Amino acid sequence: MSVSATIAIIEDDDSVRAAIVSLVRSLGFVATSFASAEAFFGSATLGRTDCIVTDVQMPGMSGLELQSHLAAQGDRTPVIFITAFPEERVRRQAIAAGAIGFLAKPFDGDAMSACIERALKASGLSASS
Amino acid sequence: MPKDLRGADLFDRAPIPILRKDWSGVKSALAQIRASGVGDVVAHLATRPDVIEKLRTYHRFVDANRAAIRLLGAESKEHFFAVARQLLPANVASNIKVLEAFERGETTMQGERTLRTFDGRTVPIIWRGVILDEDAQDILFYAFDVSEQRRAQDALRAAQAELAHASRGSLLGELSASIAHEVKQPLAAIKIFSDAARRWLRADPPKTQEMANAINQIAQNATRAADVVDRIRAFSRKAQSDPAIVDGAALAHGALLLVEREAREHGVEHRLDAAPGAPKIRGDLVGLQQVLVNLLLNGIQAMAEAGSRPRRLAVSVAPNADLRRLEFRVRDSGPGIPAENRERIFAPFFSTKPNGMGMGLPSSTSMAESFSSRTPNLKGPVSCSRFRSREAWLWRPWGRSTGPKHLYDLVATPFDAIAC
Repeated sequence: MSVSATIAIIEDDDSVRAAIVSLVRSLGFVATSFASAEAFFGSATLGRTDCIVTDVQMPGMSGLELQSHLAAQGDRTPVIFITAFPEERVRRQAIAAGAIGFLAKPFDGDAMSACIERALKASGLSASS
Repeated sequence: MPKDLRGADLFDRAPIPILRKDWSGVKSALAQIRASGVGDVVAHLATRPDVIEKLRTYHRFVDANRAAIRLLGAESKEHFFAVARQLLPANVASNIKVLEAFERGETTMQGERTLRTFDGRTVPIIWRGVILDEDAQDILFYAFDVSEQRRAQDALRAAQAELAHASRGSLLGELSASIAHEVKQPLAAIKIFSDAARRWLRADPPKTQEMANAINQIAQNATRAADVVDRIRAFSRKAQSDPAIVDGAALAHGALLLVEREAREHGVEHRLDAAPGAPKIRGDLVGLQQVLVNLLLNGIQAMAEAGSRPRRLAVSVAPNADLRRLEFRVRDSGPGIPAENRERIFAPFFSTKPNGMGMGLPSSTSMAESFSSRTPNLKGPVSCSRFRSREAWLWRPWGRSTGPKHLYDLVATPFDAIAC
């Protein structure tokens, strides 16, 4: 049995963040959460993160900026975007830069589950066990 | 040679309604009350409408001129005298004005009241009275029909309310994206928590603690979404709300909540400084909030557009030095208003924003002015507030040590101040 994958959740809204944490844990993963991209990068958990779920629109560093920041560091942790206001332009940009998923809030638990599975498969990890 | 003017003619044919009354009975009754040991007779009577009611029966109608008969809708002088006593009781406020004049030894007095005419109309009047003799046997009351002015005032007030409502609508329009966001977040949380709860339920064995947590969160988020909607609904109400006793700090807090998301989106830090125990004010809650929201939004947009760093927005609520007014100050750290625009920003349709209607500040100003309209009210002091730009700087950069300390004041009188 292997250790559960760790999912980092970056979302500035406290309630939505708590909700995603609960959902991700109910799917059997370990969840870490951050109120901003800056807090995430400051936490040194990046190396222990198997997948990132991030809001697009946040005060300070946005989700897209987070993604290019990762790329600039040569980090290949898969990224799943969530947004309250999906815009086609943003979606295309995210996918082109390698995003695994782009989900509109409120998203379905199954959709998130499928995205995470895909992300873990892409990075060579299987699901929770 | 003009004819000699005779007093009876001057009275009867004057184009101003005049009533002649004998209040000597009232005046001697007042003297008796004073003799019984009451110190401040007027203050005493203000709490005793029953006594005023009784005093009133001691006065007598002596005469009414033609204009008065006409104003009152009586058919003739005889008709007037037959029904005057039943139909003409003045209101307590007007009675007290006369009693006050007696007590102070004054010979003139004035007030406002609404007349109910014999043919069933109501006519707002301003009246003035003159006491002609020591015993108050002869008092003349002159009435000025102010229906026209009242109608014009009402129309103006209605137009202002319309304007205020329209510009609230446009404010909400500007805020619509952030409002949608504020509603959508708790809805998203509810959806995600309920998916999670379903999974916790399906776990073997079911994780009841996790489920309970998710369900609690669902309830809290439903309340949060409903609060946002309530706030917006209260703000967009059409009817002007009745003046209410308002806590200035709560009012400012509510205004900040409405622009909270917008501020966050543009990276604006905000803070509220409210003096503890600041006096409450009497006013139109929605109107006052609208003025603040408008100023806050102006500040946020000005800073965002100018790319100012840092972006700070401060609202302070404090009584001014003499404790008679409550001052709301909105300050930001934006670029300030260029000298050439400092007067123009108050003119309708002037805007520095690309999509601005140019109605925010003019409607704020007219609203703030309408708060200060005084209406005689004996029940309590009237609210009054002033909106002023003390200096022409509206958006003044923070940290600048010279120049005016604050730029934009909304000043309201505490409801418990004696007068405005």
